[in-house]
Amino acid sequence: MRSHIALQINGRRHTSEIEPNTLLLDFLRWEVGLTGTKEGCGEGVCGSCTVDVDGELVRSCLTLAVQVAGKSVTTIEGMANGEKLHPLQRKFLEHGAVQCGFCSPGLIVTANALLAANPNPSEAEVRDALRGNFCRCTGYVKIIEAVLAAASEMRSNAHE
Amino acid sequence: MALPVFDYLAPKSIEEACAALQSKPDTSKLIAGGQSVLRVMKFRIMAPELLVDVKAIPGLRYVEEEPDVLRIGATATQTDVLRSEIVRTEFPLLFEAISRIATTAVRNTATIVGNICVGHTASDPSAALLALDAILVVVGTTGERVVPISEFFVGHMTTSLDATELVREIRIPRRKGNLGMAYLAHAGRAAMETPLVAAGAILSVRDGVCTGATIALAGADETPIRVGRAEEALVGTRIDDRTILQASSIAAEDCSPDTDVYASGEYRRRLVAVYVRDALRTAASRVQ
Repeated sequence: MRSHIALQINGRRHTSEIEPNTLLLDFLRWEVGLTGTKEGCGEGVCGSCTVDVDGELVRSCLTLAVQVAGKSVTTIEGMANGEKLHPLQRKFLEHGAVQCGFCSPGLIVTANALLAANPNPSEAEVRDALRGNFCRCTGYVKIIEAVLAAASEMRSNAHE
Repeated sequence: MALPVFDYLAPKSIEEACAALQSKPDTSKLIAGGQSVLRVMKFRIMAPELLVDVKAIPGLRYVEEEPDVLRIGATATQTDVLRSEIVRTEFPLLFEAISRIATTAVRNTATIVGNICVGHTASDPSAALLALDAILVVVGTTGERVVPISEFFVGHMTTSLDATELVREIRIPRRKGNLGMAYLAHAGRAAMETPLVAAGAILSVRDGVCTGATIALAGADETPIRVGRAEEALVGTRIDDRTILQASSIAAEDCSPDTDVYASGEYRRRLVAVYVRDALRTAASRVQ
């Protein structure tokens, strides 16, 4: 029983015929070709597959593609403005918050939702917001620093 | 990790949902957020032929206060409940229980109703709602019935819901008077853990004397439970460290926690004493 779905992904409209058991994660990676979104644990714990749906974070590994029909999805590929990296992406590079990089897409999408809701978070608030995103390389210190630095830069850009 | 094959239906009304469940009572499964069901389907613990997704039914996503009751609709997400001002100010126990579930990305999709319908003993909302004497409005093909949450959990991953029924609404009575409440959970690490044990406590106090005590536990028995004998031990006493420790030991005696790969039953029992003590202390410090 295939379903027809239409949705926005990173501002572009996509339509497709999919099986009901197609996960949003697999739809993004295999149907649309956006492989930035990663599958880590596959059971909603590690956060690598996190994407934004209509302004709310979701686990794409525990979301059916049919459930996002008509909605607007933002993945890591939608963060940069052309060649210009998003401040979060740039600060992750500058602070060495990326080692193997597998967790970075989920972390950056998650941090972006935090900063949209709270442009001036404390370190504790950043840690709480990222508690569902596991990084097995960095020990988190540089990731937290990068998010705080990006928040600071985004605040000063907003005031210009 | 791929999902097994299934048919998917997103009904537009409760009647349509119940009819779909009745068409395949043994092989259909209801989902709201799907955060528990899809996960266990990946492990092939469950392989329903039909998933009935209630998220698209209009009019079920609400957290509404009335003079005597707080009402939470079937598709209200855990995030919706956390955003409710009345939950934060009047039901801190519920707020604390929900804010420790997983993380924002999961809570944005997961519902409170879905969580309790899984019937897991270590469910934070289940223990919190048990402490708050919540009432569930259950709908089936033959009509509606009202189930006190104390009669909802019947065994390991089992509730009193029939295969063709759904929980339409949770009603939480609003409380008056001098009271304090708290919810504390023990997880191996801070993030993304189901608690080993958790305790919710509510204390009512008048003129320094306890007039009402509630203690609910998660992870301490086959289902979430209340520990009546520990509650009774507090009523009529002055709440101090002696009475709190007494109630904590009774709670530890009266529960029957399971042993699994995460902890032994004996360890969980010791945790019950610690978490009941701390939840009671916190609740007592918040009495106003």
